[in-house]
Amino acid sequence: MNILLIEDEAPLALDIIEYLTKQNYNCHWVDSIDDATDALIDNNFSCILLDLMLKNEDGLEFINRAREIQNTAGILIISAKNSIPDRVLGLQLGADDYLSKPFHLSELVARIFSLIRRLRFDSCNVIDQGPIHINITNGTVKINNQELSLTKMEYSLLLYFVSNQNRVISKEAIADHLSKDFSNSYDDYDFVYAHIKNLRRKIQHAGGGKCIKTIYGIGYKWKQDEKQN
Amino acid sequence: MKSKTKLLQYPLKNYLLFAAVSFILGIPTYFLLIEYVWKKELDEHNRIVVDTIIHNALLMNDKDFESALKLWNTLQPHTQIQEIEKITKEKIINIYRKVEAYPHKNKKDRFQTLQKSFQKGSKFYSITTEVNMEETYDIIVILSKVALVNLIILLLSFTYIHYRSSKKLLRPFYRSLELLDKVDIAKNESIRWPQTSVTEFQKLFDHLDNLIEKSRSAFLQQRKFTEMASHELKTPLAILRSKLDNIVQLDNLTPEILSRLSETQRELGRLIHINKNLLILTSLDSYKLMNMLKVNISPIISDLINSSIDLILYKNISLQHQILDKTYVLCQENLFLILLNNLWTNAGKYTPNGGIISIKLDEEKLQIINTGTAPLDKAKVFDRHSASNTKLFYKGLGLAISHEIASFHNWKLHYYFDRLQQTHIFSLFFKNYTH
Repeated sequence: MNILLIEDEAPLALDIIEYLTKQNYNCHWVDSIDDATDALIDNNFSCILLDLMLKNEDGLEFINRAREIQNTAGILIISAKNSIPDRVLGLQLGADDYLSKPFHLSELVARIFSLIRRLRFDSCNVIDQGPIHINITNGTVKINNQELSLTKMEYSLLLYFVSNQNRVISKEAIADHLSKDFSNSYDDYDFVYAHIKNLRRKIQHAGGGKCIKTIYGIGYKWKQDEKQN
Repeated sequence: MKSKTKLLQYPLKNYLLFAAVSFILGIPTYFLLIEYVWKKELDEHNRIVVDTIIHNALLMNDKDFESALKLWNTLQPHTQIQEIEKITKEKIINIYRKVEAYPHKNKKDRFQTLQKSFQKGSKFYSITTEVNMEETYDIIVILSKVALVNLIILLLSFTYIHYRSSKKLLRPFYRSLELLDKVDIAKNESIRWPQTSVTEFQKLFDHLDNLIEKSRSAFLQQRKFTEMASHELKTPLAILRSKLDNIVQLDNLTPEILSRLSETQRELGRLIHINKNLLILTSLDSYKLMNMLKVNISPIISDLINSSIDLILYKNISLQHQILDKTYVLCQENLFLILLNNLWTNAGKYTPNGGIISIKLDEEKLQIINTGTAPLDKAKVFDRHSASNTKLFYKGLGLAISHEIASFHNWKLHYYFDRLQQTHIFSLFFKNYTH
């Protein structure tokens, strides 16, 4: 899947590209609106990552232009601007999601994953991970054809893992993902441990295997249980 | 607080006061004046009568005068001529007495009397003439009635004329107040002041234009500065975070390196959090120049509970809530969200396993109550300067921000610990609060 990254901070752009490439996304990187427009004319993108504060340019101006050229690409704003009016304005202008800096790369991938699937109304909205069958449209999860009962937070955690499969996700990134805007002052990770424990138990109990691996000292990794294939 | 008077009513109030004083002082003044003029006229009348009688009497012969005198005194009760022993000084008397012709009438009548003596031949006579005048009480009542009627007519006409002319005159002023209410400093919109032929109003509008422009420019500069500061601070943090995210993906990292990376990520998270809160604090001033809106906070609170309930329920915390429907408060919605999130997060974080969190919202206040074991230091709970080390500073900033946001809205956020129930109680009063 093609992704266009519009970012003028080279070190950040290179890190994003490194992470996305390992997740099998094909990245194109530009650092100005003009180059972004040209890239849009030449390629089809599933998702555009747009930084709002480009050198001497306002990223918001690009949204209208992008919509005129290629209406199917999802636009995800990645910006240091974090106020609600900025978010609302971005979304009103036609962006699909808003992620404020500094973010975890795993969160970025989860948002891209969710955005691409949200904009497609075909079979791509179903994800199969061995015996685990996730229907994003309905928000249901089945393991060996048995419906799994998950809380809203467990479901969100499952999608987060699946979108970042085979990647190490830190406890901190998971805590930020779960607590969202409710301030990241949850500096103890008890709630992360509790939710992962519950999700892991439910999946294993239903026969989904040990997909959530603990990476000692740092966090977790989703890896499809080979015994289940 | 001293009650305020509307501009249109202000001069009218003074005029009414002046009219009432004039009315009270005017009645005795009128009375004294009328009494003086009236008495003067009556005295003059009495003198003419007396002098004419004396003149005519002196022309009569003594015998005719003597014989007419008795008849005169009987038929002319208002002019009596009596023989006296010597010439006396002229006297003017004002007396109340009963009239002999009305013996059953209880009320005494008032008379203005002139007494003068004259000599006819070898005899001396005194002539007394009197004229009936209105009683003092009646004069005052009549005067009061007339004055009151005049006053009412005057006041009604004055009020009408005043309102009509002032309203017309002040129309541009009131229109400008309405326009000022709608000014949003964040929007680059010029104000269309009403047309006016009054020089002072035109001057006022020019000054206001100037002032708004300066405020807008200051606001935009401040916002730009905050945005730049935010960008400059957040970008290196974002790079650092993404680098760490990539490093942890490397193969062959030893448990020790992973553990150190985890600590680094954790500290970086704290730094990002502190930075975020400091940016909120620095941007508070720019909100002062923006309009407050009437916001229904009930659904905001309900949404907050629904979307974050999983974050606390893992601790077996039971949640109680009483949220009044449609509670409107005048606020900056995004600042209110920050305040609410901080209070809610604080409660979720510090409620022990199996505890209770209770949220109550009514028209006057929002209360977030959570069980706890020991009270917080009341003097320092909202003080962002009190924390002596980074950890405390980090933890305490959320409540300090909530307190700053409450003060910004002229609300009052306060805290106490209920020792009987063992609960922390945070109350946010929405009305302007004076302690």
